[in-house]
Amino acid sequence: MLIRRKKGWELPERSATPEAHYVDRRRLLAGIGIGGLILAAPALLRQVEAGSNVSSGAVSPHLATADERSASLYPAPTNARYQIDRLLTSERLATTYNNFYEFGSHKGISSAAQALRIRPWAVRIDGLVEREMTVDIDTLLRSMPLEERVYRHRCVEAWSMTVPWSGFPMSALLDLARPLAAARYVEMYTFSDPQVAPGQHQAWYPWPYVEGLTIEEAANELTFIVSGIYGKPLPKQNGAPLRLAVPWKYGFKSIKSIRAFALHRCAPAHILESRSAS
Amino acid sequence: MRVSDDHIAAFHHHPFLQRMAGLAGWVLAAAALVAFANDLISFAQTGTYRVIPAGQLWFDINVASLNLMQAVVQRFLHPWLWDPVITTILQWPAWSLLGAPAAVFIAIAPNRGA
Repeated sequence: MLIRRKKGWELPERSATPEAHYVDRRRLLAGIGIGGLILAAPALLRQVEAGSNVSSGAVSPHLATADERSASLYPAPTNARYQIDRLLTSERLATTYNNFYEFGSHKGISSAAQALRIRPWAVRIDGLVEREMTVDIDTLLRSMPLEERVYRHRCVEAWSMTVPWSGFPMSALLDLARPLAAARYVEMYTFSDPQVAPGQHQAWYPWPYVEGLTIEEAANELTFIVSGIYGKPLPKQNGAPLRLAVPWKYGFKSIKSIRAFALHRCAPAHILESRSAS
Repeated sequence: MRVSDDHIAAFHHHPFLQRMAGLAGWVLAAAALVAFANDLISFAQTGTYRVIPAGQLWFDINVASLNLMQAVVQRFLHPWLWDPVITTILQWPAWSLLGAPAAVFIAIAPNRGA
């Protein structure tokens, strides 16, 4: 008697792929590949263009200076009150190991950020202030009491650096704008330019990046508006031409490339809060 | 990795995997349907058809995981994999991004009628 034992590798006839599909499989895969390339082409071209902008730059990213017009302001006089008893982080490390979310979440930001144009750069101050104004960055820097302070910069990623920042106390900026009594918070806005900052193509984030401090925090003597580092103008990857430094908070609070300050009655929503929550 | 006939045969000999694929397919299909219904409701309310991109849906559901995923991909794999590759995919309508794998999973799941 013939006993038919089914082998483990045998498949029923119904599992066989129809011949027409089998014959066409390469064309299907090629179609998927070509379709993907077509969809990704605009973004790929943007990347190539940004890369060529960086490579055509005359200075290496970690040595890039903000602009020659403000270069004569540095090094600013050292404020002996704000020194730290620990070694300074090397300039090369502090200017190449950076976060700048507008340009991505990777650590190659020092190259990518060179696409940012920082001159001309107007700074807007408005909201609940006596003197609303739009001021050119070089005019602002020349009117502020520049000094150098050594601060510790702590990142939420569990690393820290010790950095000599140049800049001016934020209280000096508040004195210039003269906040009204109703002002409770200072909002700061960074730039919005998806053409140079690929991260801003992710439209689900509420660009531009906004940070906020209470008026008391903003007026605190430690709160520093930074325009230079290591006795030189601030490189783009570090937040040129103007960034915040609040040494008692994690680094992500220190907004980079500030375009505007606005004084308000209410606290701003952070970028990582969902739109529905805000 | 090249998917050979042996791999397909191996899959067909794992009923558990087949059932899981079917389950994942129907869950994804339901999510795609909800996303599409959301688009239609938005259209009914505003009068303009605005497709919700997959990235927007992810942002609204859990922004922290979206942020973390970008950091992991860009730092440990390659920056380009996130931008432009994944970023481009996340621009697609949420319903299509959920619907495509749903169709694949349902197609490879066991056919009860056969």
